[in-house]
Amino acid sequence: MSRTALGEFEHHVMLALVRLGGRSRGARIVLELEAATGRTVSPAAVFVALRRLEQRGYARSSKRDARPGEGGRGSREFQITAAGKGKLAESRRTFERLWGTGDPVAEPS
Amino acid sequence: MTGVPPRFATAVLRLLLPESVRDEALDELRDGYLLRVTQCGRADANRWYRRQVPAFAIRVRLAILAGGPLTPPRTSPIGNPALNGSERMTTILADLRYGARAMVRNPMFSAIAVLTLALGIGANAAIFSVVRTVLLRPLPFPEPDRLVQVWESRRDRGWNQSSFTHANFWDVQDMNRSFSAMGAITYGSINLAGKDNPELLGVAYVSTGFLRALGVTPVAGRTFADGEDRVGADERIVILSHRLWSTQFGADRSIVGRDVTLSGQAYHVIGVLPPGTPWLDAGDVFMPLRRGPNEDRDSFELSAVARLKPGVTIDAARADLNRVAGQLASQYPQAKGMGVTIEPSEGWVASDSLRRALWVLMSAVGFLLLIACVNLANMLLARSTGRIRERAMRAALGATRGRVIQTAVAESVLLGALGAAIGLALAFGVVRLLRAFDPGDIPRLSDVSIDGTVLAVTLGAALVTSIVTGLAPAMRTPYHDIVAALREGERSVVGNRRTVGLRAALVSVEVALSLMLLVGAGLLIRSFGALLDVDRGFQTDNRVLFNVTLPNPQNEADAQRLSALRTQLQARIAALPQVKDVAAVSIGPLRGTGTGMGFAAQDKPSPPNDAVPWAGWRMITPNYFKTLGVPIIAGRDFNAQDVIAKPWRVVISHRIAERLWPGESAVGRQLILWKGQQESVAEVIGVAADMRDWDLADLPSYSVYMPFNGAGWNPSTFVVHTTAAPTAIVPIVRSLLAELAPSSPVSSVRTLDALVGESVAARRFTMLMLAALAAVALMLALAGVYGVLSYSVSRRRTEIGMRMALGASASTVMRLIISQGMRPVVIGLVAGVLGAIALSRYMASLLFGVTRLDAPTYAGVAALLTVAAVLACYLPARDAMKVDVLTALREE
Repeated sequence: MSRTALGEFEHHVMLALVRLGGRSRGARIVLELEAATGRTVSPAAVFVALRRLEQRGYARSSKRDARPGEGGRGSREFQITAAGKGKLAESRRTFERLWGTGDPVAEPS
Repeated sequence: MTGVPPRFATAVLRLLLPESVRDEALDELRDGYLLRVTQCGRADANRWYRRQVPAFAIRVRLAILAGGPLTPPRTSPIGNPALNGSERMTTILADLRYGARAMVRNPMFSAIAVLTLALGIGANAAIFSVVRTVLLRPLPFPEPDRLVQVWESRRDRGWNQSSFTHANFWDVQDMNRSFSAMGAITYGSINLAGKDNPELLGVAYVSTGFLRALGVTPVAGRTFADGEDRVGADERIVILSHRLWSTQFGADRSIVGRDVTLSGQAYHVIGVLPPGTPWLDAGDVFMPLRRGPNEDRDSFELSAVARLKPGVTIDAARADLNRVAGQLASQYPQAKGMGVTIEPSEGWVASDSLRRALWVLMSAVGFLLLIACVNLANMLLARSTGRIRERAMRAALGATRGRVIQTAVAESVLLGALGAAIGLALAFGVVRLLRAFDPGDIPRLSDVSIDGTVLAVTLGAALVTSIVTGLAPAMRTPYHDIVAALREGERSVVGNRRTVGLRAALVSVEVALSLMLLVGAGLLIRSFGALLDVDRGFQTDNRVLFNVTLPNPQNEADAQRLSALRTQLQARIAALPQVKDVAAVSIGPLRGTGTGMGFAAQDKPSPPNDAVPWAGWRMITPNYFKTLGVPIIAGRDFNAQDVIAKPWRVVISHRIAERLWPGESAVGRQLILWKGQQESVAEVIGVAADMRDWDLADLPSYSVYMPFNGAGWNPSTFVVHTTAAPTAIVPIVRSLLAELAPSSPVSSVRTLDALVGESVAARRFTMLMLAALAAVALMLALAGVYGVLSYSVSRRRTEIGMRMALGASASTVMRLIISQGMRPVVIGLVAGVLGAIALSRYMASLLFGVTRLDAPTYAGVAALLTVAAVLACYLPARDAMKVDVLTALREE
């Protein structure tokens, strides 16, 4: 196990990165997470989380050129790294070990 | 316009956000805003946006307080901290594409750059392939480092290296403890009865240990076995050289075991040698060298090679052999003073002077490549100054220093790759040219080719070259002051003064290097001129030489018959209308080296043994001097009555007369021949003018001439002086000879002019190569001078315009520009002269008739470079003249 486990929100952000595939901007991730969780997601939280993930080596970013008509300087695009994928897989295994087989919390119906 | 989020909220957020993430955060929020506009409409999006503003600012501030800055792990905005392999590849490809576009955009620049590199790389590949084949490729024998050549020495006579005498060779072979095998070789000739004309074959007589010492494995059959060199063993056995086997016997393996007819006798073929040089091509056929019962210790004829036993060093072998020599010297009076010299096999393929010449050429092409690099770096620097704004822009946009360098290097690597490709094509051409102009005495030249190693070395050189030259401009990206660079761009003061200084220094380097090359070429050219101008002593026009091989004499009567045949042939040739003079000689002028003899005057005190002078000797028919146009200074030429018998009569060269009897008449004096050997006394009947008949680069020879009449020597070299077209005589001679002595070959037909040409061919080769390299170097250096100056003139247009507006005359401005351009040239000249003085020492042995510090050469080369450089400066200076004062001032 590496130093720190993923926080739940970071976990979500990374999974969103994986699901979107390739490079994605923060705003896309916000929408993805909102669609998946059905809750509003703070763009600031995503903004911070992506940069922390990058600092930990789980994501990397590049500057995309501004598209015509969009104006601005172009925002940063994020992508998961191999280390990030490994971390996700590790988290998943941890969860699976903890869950075990069957459904330990299933309520008797 | 749907793309603008609420302005007030944006302005507030801008105030609240920390600077480090301000732009990114605003971009990201705008991104989200735009997505929402398309999904939920503008009103919703506006509401969302306004709600996010305080939250965003607070969260980001808190995050920074809690966990440090949000900037990416490394400081570069773009530079991804961990580019993986495929991404790095992508950026490299992108850079290469970028480089290709830059090349296409500026085709003239690219063409010159590529050509410059191609010249440097091509010359290197060509010469390296020669050096590699001739000097570096190992000998065609196993474990060549154990092979040595062995010589006798006779300290009492002052000889450090001499051929072995027969008896001493056999004794050393038997008594040494250092060699696993030792062998000797000597040479002769024999006739092969061919289909049309009989062919004269070279015979190498080798002891049975010879091929064993070399470790030769025959292509077919076997080599000589122990005992086959004893008297009484089968004498009629022969091993064929690979060349003869291929050309005369169609490389037919079944020749082994069959008989061939040589000089009328049947010889049994026992084997075929592999191809190669040295030794394996020493003869067309190899026969056993017989060990006679009573060999002598006084005629030095055998070359000896040996293979050291494993673990025995040359020094140990030397000590061991000198022990043997000491024993022989004390045992036999004729071996007095005997010692032994051993040399490693390194020098077998290329003589010292050839090695020297090739290394000089190799250094010259190295210089040329250096000049090409300097030139290219200079060009790239000039252009990079022009593109400083572009690189400042890239840096401002976040390109890391690494990326900027990678881009620049990708571009020059592209240039390098193209240069290498064209350079290799050039090298192929040069190598073909070299083979076509084979000067004759460069061994293995026909094997020279651009092989894998040459290819690898060339590509390596190209890669290093282009990376190094690409780095120089890339390092000059003004990271320390991007803003100034952006603002001032090409006119930027930042780094420009230093760049100009650097470029001037590069010009100095180029000038110095090309001056050194030019001095080298100049010295060789002057040597060559001196060599052609040297007083040869003999005339060459309309003279032809050829060898005639008569049936080998078996006894004294045969020898007399041979001599009579030679006299008859001479008479018949003389009778031909187109022949002015004809003579025969044992060894023709410029035809290799004969054996020598010590000599002394009988009427003078005898010099100590090691101070006895050494003369070459020849047997000649009457008329030899007249045929060669050499005057008899005193006494007389031989006539038909002079024969090679006692009382000995000789003609000597003027130098011998001057040495032994200075200021006196030599005619009628008694001369001791073979002084220190068998010592015969001969009467001097004439003195002939001096000739340089062994090697043009030597002093005129000490020569002793004896009558050919009565000698059973074979083959004879005929010299014919004709009225015109000397070689036209040869078919007539063939038919005359066919009447006198059928199946006697005429061989080695050469005009004397051609022989002179061949004797200087190696020098001509080195000279032409170096001169060509120096010319290319000069061109490149001038291009460098021109490039730097014209760039600096273009930069100073305003200043020049100002000067002219203030009343400076055209000639003043011209002088200003030229003196500025010449400053680095003069520095380069001084450095180059010093360098040439230092390096010329390595060329001293290649020179003839000039010293390595020959003042006219240095002065001439310096003058040539100066004039050429002034011309190169004149063109940009003339452009400066054309500056229109008003335009120039307005530009600022």
